[in-house]
Amino acid sequence: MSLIFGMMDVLNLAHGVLFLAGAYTAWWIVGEAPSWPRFAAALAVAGAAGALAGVGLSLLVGRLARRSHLDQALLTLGLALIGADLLSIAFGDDVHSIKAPPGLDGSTAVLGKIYPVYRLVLIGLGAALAAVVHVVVERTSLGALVRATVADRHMVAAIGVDERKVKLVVFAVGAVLATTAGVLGMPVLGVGPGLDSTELILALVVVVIGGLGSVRGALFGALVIGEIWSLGRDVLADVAPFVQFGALALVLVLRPRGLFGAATGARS
Amino acid sequence: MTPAGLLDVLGLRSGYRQGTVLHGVYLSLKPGRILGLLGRNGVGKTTLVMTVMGLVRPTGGMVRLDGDDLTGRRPDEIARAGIALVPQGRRIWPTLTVAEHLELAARHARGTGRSADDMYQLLPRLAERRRQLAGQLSGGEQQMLAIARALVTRPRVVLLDEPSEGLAPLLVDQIGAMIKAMAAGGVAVLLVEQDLHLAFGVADEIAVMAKGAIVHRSDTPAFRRDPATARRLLGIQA
Repeated sequence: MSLIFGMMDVLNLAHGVLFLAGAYTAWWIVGEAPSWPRFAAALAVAGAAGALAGVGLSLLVGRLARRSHLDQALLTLGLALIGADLLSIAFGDDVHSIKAPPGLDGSTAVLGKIYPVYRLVLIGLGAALAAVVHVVVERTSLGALVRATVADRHMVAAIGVDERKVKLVVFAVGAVLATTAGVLGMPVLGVGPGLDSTELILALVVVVIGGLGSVRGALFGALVIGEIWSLGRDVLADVAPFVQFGALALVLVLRPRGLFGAATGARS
Repeated sequence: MTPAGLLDVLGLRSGYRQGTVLHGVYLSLKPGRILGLLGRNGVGKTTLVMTVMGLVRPTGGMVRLDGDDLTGRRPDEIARAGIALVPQGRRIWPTLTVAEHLELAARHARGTGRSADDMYQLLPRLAERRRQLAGQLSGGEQQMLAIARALVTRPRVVLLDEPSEGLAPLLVDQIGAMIKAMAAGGVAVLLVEQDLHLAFGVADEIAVMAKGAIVHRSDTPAFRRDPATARRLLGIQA
């Protein structure tokens, strides 16, 4: 989820609205009658929409490449507000929810408490996805190219690689992950106006805790916050919302650059 | 001026938001020859290198490689045309291993580039460190890596910006040997240097820059025989 923030040095505040769009896609396609084919269709449509949106965002933000983070943030925030309003017009202001796919809609006992199966699956999926992204980024040549672009994109260009294409692909993958997360999160979170800002803040917390510009940090932060958020809500229901911000405050006080952040900025 | 070199820089102008830095630079590089570019701090040597590489946008003039106009092209296009950069401060990617640096640069080389293995034979020290993150290497090893990264792209022209910066004398000599070997292979080299020992040791010709323009050019022995000029242009005892 935090690929674009952490890795491409762009404050993409449209991230939340991509998640929202994924969730509405799930509502639109799956609706009241959850089935595996409908879930698969929702994932495919949301994925395709996410890829297109990511490419579009990358091209727009690319025009501001020489400007400050604030300009990029304002552009993406503006697009996010427009996108969220368009989704409200299309789907109304009601809060919708869908059921988990058949077979995953039950509950099971975890540490003596009843816990929904779908949430466990979601946690597992998140961990698996994090592992896949980690392996791709840390162990493959494509990942090396992405890491090099994060560290010094000018030197990537200086060996003959069009670094704008790297950015385009990372943007698209980041956006696909966001819309996919929207579909997958729908049975747990439901969807309605305001979901985008909740998710955006969560993603910002993840990136800041992990450390801006750190691939491993972003994944680690996502996993930590994901676990705190998912399990915490059931096990420590009263304080869960504060735990994640408490963790953020603690990291910012003890280690302002994040858990895995570089000591100095990678930009040149 | 008649362009005659492999790389011709003709009246190049560029700068930053704060103002113009290059006020019409002329120079040409020939295959297998090393041009040492000297000058005081802030005269525009690094800006010249960055502008030729396409990392700073030119506002006037022309950059030609073997007759092809590269002016205003993107840095990746300029790199693929055959110009490589060893930048000031090395600018290696600290989160990549030595092997990843060389494989990445070799994969995007024009034609069939030198392989990473060729570089390991040339630089056994890098071979020993191939699985190590570049950020953990010593300054000298990082500089060797920066040079090797440029060479695996199989360039026709190499721009080196202060490769001796912060290195011990023994390492500076090794870097000098690498630069000579590059030129012996037919590469045209532009060597921006503050270290006169290195520049005089390897360069065939010396050019001096002042206030964004080339103000002197002569072959190295002639420059060394004329300490008055060196003192006037560089403010040092050459």
